[in-house]
Amino acid sequence: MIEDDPSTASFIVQGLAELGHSCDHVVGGLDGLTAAMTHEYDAIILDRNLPQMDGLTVLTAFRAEDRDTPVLFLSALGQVDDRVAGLNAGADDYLPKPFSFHELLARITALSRRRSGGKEAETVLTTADLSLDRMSRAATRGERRIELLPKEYQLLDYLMRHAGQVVTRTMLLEAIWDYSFNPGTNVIDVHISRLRGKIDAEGETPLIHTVRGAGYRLGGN
Amino acid sequence: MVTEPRKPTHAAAFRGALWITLIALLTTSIALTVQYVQTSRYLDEKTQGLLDDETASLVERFEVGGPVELAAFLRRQQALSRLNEFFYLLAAPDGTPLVGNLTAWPGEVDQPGFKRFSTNVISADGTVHARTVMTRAVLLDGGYRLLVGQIAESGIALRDRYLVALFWSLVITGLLGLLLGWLLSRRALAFVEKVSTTGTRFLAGNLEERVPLSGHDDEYERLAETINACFVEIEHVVRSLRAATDGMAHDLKTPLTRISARLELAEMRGASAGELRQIIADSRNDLAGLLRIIEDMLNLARAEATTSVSFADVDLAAIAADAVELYQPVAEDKGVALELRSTPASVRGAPALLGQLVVNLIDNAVKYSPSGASVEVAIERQGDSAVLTVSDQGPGIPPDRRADVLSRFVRLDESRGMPGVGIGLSIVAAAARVHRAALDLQDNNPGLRVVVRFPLSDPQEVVPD
Repeated sequence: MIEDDPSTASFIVQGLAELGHSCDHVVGGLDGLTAAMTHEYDAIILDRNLPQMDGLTVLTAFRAEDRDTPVLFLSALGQVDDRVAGLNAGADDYLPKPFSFHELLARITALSRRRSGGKEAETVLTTADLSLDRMSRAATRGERRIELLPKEYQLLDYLMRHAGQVVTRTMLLEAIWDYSFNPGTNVIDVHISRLRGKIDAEGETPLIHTVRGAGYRLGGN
Repeated sequence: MVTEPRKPTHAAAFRGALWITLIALLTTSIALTVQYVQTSRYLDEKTQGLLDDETASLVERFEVGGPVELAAFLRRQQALSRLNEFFYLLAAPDGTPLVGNLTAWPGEVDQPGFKRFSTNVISADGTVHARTVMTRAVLLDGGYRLLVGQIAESGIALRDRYLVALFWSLVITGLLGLLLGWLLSRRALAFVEKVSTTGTRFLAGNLEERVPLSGHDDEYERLAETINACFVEIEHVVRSLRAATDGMAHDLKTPLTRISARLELAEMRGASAGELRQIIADSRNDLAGLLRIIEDMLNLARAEATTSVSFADVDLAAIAADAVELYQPVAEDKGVALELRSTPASVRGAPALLGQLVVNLIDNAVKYSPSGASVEVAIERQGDSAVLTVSDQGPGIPPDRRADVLSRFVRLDESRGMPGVGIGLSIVAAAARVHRAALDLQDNNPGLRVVVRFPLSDPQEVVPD
């Protein structure tokens, strides 16, 4: 993690450590770039405003060396344009401050998992006895066929690609509606409860779990 | 930002007057000169015509009666007191004067044709005067030379008069030009003066200051309107910033005070584990609310700072369809019928911001709708506008409060206690403003109808029914 604010940094390091992840922390942009180039990390958390060298420059330099370690951009600049600039420079995700630790963790997990064998290219996704054929767009649970509306299909597809991981509401909004703002009302919750109604029929083991204060998880644990 | 108060100066008016005068002087001079040249040419042509006629008749006389007859005729003519008309000189081939009003063959005339010069002329009473003349010389048979002339002093008189006229014309034009030019420039510049005075007062903090309009439909009026529009915009930004600061202070302080009080209490009493958990849960709740407020404010600031530079062609109907789809389950759970009626309508805009505009309107409409009511979202093409209408059957907003709702942080008393209210419509208003869309809150009898009128980016396109 390259972050210059000491309290934000220690909060992230502690939080990750408690969950069993280890995390190196550097303050300056140049030091960060050196660390990133000399180690193999699962993911990099990069702040935008840094001493020595700003985050965007670090990222551009890093990507210019053909390094594909996933990078999550962290910034107080949350405007759509800043977001686009960050993603264009090669960031894999962009999280504006203020953010919750759950949000950060969910995104970091998603990024590092994507790297260690992403499911983007698979044509059939399977979790427990739930499977989703991405060619025919058909979902089945055991022997039961599940009829899905287009958005429900997209939701399930996203959840299954991130099976076992926590997915936050903002991640879903960004991925499925392309909204980088939070509409506020519990719109996503309602969509999920609809989907849950179709996936988890009575008597079946529930697959869609609500993770308090964070979001949702499909299968796992 | 503070400008030194400057002394009023009339430099521009004076410069204007000088230019007007200079142009007037040049025009007058050119007009008079052209007239002079034309008149003197006309006079010359007239004299030459007369000389030609006279010479022709004398040549005829010579051809009939020879030099003797011509000399006798000339002598008779000379005796008549008609100097004002013609004078003559008949000379021998060697130039010796035989008969005529001239003392000698003028040296200036060395070949046949017209000539203008000054020479001594003998008048009928025998006196000799130096006169400016125009002559026509011909060579007769036997080498005799004949000169017919006329006093050509009208040209000189004309020139003198021209000079006098030119002088006075220029003096008068100059004075009038300076005077009228000064008045005219002052009048035009009075407008500039008006604008700069208004601007100075505006800068000093009188945000209601506007350039007075004249009521004439001219360029000045248009400029004044543009400047006033800028003033309105600045006033709006300044005022909403002030309101935002006040509102922000209130909205942030309340939960912060609660958190602080809770922590203080826990410290004082040495709370039990259960109490501590409750304190943490409550505080996290308040903090989530605080983050939510800050996010809303950032969203509003973003909406207000959006510029048309990043705009693209966007189908409003597609954006509305996405937003309706997002809210459909929420509405159904509430027993509210959410309906979309749309025609493709392309507008220039920022898709994310337009999405937020529609989402906020639907969010409000669904939130305030009682169970069993319906919310209608419509996209229509009307002339060269794309019209977005979101109608609900909720409590509506009283007409006198509608303007307030759009400004930052105003919450209607009735809506207190409902989460997430207040800033949503402000973001809608800001998003509408940066898209040059007209936002109107109307009565839906019962309920609220929000009408947003965007300029279409494909107004000519014919849409099949």
